[in-house]
Amino acid sequence: MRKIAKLAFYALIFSLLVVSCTDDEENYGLYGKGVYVLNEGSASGSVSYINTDNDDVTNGIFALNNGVPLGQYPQSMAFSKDYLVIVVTTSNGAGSIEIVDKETMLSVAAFTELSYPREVTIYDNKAYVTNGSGEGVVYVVDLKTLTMNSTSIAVGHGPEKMVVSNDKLYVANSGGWLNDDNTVSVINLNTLTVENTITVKACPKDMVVDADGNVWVNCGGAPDYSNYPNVSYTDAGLSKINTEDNSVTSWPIANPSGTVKNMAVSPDGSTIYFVSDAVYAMEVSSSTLPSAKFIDDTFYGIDVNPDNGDVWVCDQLSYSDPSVVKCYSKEGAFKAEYTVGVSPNSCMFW
Amino acid sequence: MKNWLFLFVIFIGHYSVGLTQDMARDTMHIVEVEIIESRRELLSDTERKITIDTSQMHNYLSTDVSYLLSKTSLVNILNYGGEGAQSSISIRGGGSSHTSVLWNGLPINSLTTGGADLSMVNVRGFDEINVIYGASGSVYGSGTFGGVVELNNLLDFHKKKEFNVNAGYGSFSNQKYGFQARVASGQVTYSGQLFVSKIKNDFKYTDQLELGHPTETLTHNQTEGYGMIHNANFKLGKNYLNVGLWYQVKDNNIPGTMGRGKPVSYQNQIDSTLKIAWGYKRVFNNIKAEYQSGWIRDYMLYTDKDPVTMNYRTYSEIGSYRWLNSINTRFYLNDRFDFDVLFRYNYLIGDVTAYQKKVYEHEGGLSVSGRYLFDHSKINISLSQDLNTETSPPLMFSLGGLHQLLSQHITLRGKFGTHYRRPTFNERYWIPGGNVNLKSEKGYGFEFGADWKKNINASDFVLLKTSFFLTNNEEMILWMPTLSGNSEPQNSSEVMSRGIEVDFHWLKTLGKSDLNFYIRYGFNDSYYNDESDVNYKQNLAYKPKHIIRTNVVYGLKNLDLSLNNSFQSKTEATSGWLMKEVFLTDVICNYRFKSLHLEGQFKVENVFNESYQMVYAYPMPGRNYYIGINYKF
Repeated sequence: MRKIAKLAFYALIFSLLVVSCTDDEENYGLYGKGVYVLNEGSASGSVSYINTDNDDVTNGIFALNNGVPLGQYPQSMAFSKDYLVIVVTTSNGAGSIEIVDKETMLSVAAFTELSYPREVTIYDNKAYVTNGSGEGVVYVVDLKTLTMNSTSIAVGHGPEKMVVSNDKLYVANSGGWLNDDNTVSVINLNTLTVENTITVKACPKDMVVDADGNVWVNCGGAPDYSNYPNVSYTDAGLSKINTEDNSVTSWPIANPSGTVKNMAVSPDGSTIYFVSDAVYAMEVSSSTLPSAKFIDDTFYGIDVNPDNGDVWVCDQLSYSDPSVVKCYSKEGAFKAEYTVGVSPNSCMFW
Repeated sequence: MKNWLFLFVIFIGHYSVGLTQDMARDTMHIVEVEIIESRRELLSDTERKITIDTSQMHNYLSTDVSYLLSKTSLVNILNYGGEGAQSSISIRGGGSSHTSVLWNGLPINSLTTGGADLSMVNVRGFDEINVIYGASGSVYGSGTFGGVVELNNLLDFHKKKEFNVNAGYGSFSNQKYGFQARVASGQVTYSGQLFVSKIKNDFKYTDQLELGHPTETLTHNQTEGYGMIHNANFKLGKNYLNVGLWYQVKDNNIPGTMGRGKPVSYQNQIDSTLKIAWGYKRVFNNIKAEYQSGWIRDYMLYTDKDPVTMNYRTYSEIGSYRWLNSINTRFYLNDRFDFDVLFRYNYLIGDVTAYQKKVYEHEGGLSVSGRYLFDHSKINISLSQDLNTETSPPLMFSLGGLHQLLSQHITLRGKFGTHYRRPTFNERYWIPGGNVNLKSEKGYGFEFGADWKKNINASDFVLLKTSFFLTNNEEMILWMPTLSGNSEPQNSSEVMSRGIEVDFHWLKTLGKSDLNFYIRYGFNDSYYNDESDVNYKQNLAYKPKHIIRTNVVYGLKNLDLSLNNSFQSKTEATSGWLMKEVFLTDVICNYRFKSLHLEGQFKVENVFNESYQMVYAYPMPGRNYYIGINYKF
């Protein structure tokens, strides 16, 4: 009898522990913890979910839950506390910002009729969205009230990627369709004004923040087609902005990537990954560009899983057929490949 | 250089032989129709050639050719937002650049894109419209994997003077005005027309791609156009001269699409074309020589504005000039055998902003074709080699035959032939992306068919035409992503198309009335056929497997009443999104007030108010009405 009582007592303790643990775990919503892939598509883009525990892939999860497709050429997405924010560019000036409940994957709001929205960054429960193929602005969406600020922040031409460092928003002004910019705008997030404009290499597109809070910029360079099919890129390279004094250190790159999403950073911020004629890994303490290739291939997008440092790359095979994303270890060893939607460009990790 | 020299020698040589034979031979009876008929027409009888019924042309006189064909033939039309909006054609799984469009034999597909925007082609401008399914490359030239659409102005020297003034008004502020003249004197024939059209196209539609499927109104979808077409022919003994002119301008706002928010667009496209054609035909007893030439200037301006600043963010001019020439000589060796020798020379200029410089190409070609007539059979054989200063088209070959089983009123047809498509200027020269190393697409096709006709009485008959076909394209050009982040056309895939087509026509007279009943059915399976590709065996986008057209035309004295149904099965858009099947019904009533020289037309299109798309996210109009009037004097 005492034995049974003892067992019952242990069972009760175990149950309490299990319940306690479960309460502490984050609710990973309809699909669960895993990798969410944004596919630009052709007629319409989509979101794929990869369950890395069993390698199952579910494609088109926005359309599956909302009954309508996501829209043409979604360019970026980001998780906030409550939402998945997806920016849909389109080809005809009818862009939108889709706010999706990240637990149910149901759309809860949309901001439409944007001319050319591109990238989204979440900070302090606000979504910052770059917009413009020429003259650019940053829109601010309050994710508590699901409202967009009535005024936008004017930045440079063709703004793309944004990162936050020391409560400042850095905006890469890529030059847009004319490739005519080489600056990074620095926005004070308290006043929502541009307090500095920093010159970097030409056509900055992607950025990351390292462990020291410095901003690394991958600049594609201004393409010169005068000897086409031989194309040269003027002033392409990597720029590092010291956020303490806004000084810039740059390295030229001879064969830049023409893609927009070509940079990522390790979870501890000590290593940056960038794509040019291959994927390279560079220690942020290094003063020279690496010569060894991390992955001897080029890709349409690159991200790092903050949980384990795995490097995920998007391989765009065609404009009409399902493509793949590949996972490499932080040492550069191939781990897995998943077939997702058409033209995947980025991975988000939840 | 050697190739050009070879062609020159062949040309001089064969023409000298022709003149010598003209002097040496006596008479050989050649009926006028054969003199007038081109090499292409003579060789087309072993092809599956469907001439659009004149009553159906009459029903859709106020529309463009894309609209007519989508109602009456087994083609798939991709339309971007209703009447006047851009339209491209797909036949037997081919794309727009795989269908060659000919105006009196002159190829008018865009030099830069390879396709033809059929919304620029008014039905009223032509006397005859033919669709040749899977036309042979050796007979029709580049870009015939799908087929050929012929727009013909027919020769008719019978004396006449006929003038028509017409006007029409329809839903969505659809306005049409036209004037036509047709004069013939026995030696000279002239036909000409002027036309103006304007349509707002601001129709309501159900936005199937927006949450809640709300009703929206399409804006920024106006089209305005004007133009003229003239043709004149002169008969001077055994000499035939012809000249033609076609000038047209179209200003088209490209509409927004379905999806999140209102349909927003700031895109506009202005197209203009000037085509001038001239030719000469001469009979030298048993030899017929024909020279045809044409000069074509196409211009397109595509713009897109930034919605915020309203400055142009895209301003793209796409222009081209072409000088097309051909000389064909036909030798009638006896009453069973004749052969043609055709020499071509074309001078092509691309003047496009994105090319960053003018580009020039010369191309030539030599074709030899023969016909042999048996008592109840016929064989056509054709060999053709095109040469281009920049690309190397493959040798083309076709062999076709037909055999009539007279007792059973059955004609059997068979054909084997090769196809090719020269890369377009955009595919070669567009910066960035243009790939000057592209090869011509090439492939083969074969077809078997049987036609059965039963004459019930002097006027009534039943006609059944069936065909089975298979076509492959070994070097399909697709725009692919590249390592630089741009896209580039590549010879990247193999495509197979196969299917069957059935045409049924029953004419029944009922006292003073008559009833024409048509059913057309096409099954087409087009898929990627390269085992190494990820899309192996997947169907091509926008290629419905089933197409059905039914047309019933009832005629009674001055009244013609038509009921037209068209169906196509669901298709895949690009990215795998499904497009639902489409079933449309039109009712058309024509009535002639003879004493007043007037004819009126009342038309209801999409009677059942179907909500549909032909191109993903581009809504099409629901039920709409049109009333037109024509005064003939």
